[in-house]
Amino acid sequence: MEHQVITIIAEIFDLPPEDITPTTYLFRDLGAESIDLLEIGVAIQHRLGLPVREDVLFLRDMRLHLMEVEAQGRSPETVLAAAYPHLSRERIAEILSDRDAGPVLQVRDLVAYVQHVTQPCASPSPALAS
Amino acid sequence: MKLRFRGQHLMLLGGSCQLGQELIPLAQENGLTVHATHASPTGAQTLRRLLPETSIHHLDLGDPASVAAWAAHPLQLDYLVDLAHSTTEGLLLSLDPDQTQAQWLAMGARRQTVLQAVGRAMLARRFGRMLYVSSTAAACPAPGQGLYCALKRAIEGLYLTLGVEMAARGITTVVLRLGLAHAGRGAAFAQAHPHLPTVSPADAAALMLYLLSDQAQSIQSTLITHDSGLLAHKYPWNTK
Repeated sequence: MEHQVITIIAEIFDLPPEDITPTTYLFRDLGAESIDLLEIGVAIQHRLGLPVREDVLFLRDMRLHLMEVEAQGRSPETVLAAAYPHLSRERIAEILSDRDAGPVLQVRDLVAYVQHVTQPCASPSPALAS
Repeated sequence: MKLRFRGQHLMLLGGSCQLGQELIPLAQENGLTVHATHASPTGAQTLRRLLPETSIHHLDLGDPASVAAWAAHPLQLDYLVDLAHSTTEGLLLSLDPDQTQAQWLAMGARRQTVLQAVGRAMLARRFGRMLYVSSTAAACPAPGQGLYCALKRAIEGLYLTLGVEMAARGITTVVLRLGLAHAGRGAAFAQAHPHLPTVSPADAAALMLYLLSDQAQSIQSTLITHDSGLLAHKYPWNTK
């Protein structure tokens, strides 16, 4: 799955696949725009034949979800795990510590989404899903 | 001039109307593979005279299940001609609220669902051309056509914006505002008002095909009026 996702991203950004790694940032490193994300979503849907919820795939509304933390008195880890069930506990912790530096979306987050919808029973963060 | 077409597959949304019946053979003569949707058994029967069964698809914008089923498995299309339209008429203050809401849902929201499915399939291959057949009613209000006018303007906005957003990825759009034609809802009115300038369905279909062609691709995300000068005249009712 990782190879397929990297191939899609490389084609859309017209880059050699070897320039893209799992920890490449879509916005910070590649300068992605909304139309690029749309095209990635469409490629995952049509080429890989997978259902795509773009809000989840691209970690949209993260700021809104984190605002719920204060409003509902829940932990940020719990809120993000519920919103993005494809992300592991470790990845969510990294995102929370990294978000002040800019948009956090990385290639590995897309790979995790693809793996999650391919094998929906294998939730990476069951302990946080409640 | 010989028209060139980079793509192959054309779909007519609402293709059983008279304009669709004119366009189908013309597109076939120019080498395109034509698909068409219908919303009723009568429409299906009309299309069967022109197309093979495998190219005829049921899509009723008034039926959410029909739209959902269609959007889940959209055809791989190169061209879309959107001929579907509302037939609801009446003074705005007298329209039935439930019927009005149903029309907005069908012609607006569900049409957008169809557009998204078609557009995403086109984006996957980075080519697509969409033509929305609007009306001069969108440009010039007429009593009894308020809902029709508003829906046309709203849908024009969808197509024009889609063209702006997706042109860099190979999908372009154009809106054709047709005037009074001896076809469909306009036929009886045109007959009753013979002094008004009209457009023949055959000429309208020929222009539609041109607008799909490679030669017309630079006519992009814009409106074209085809009305024989109907809206150009200050007093068209007096032009005898």
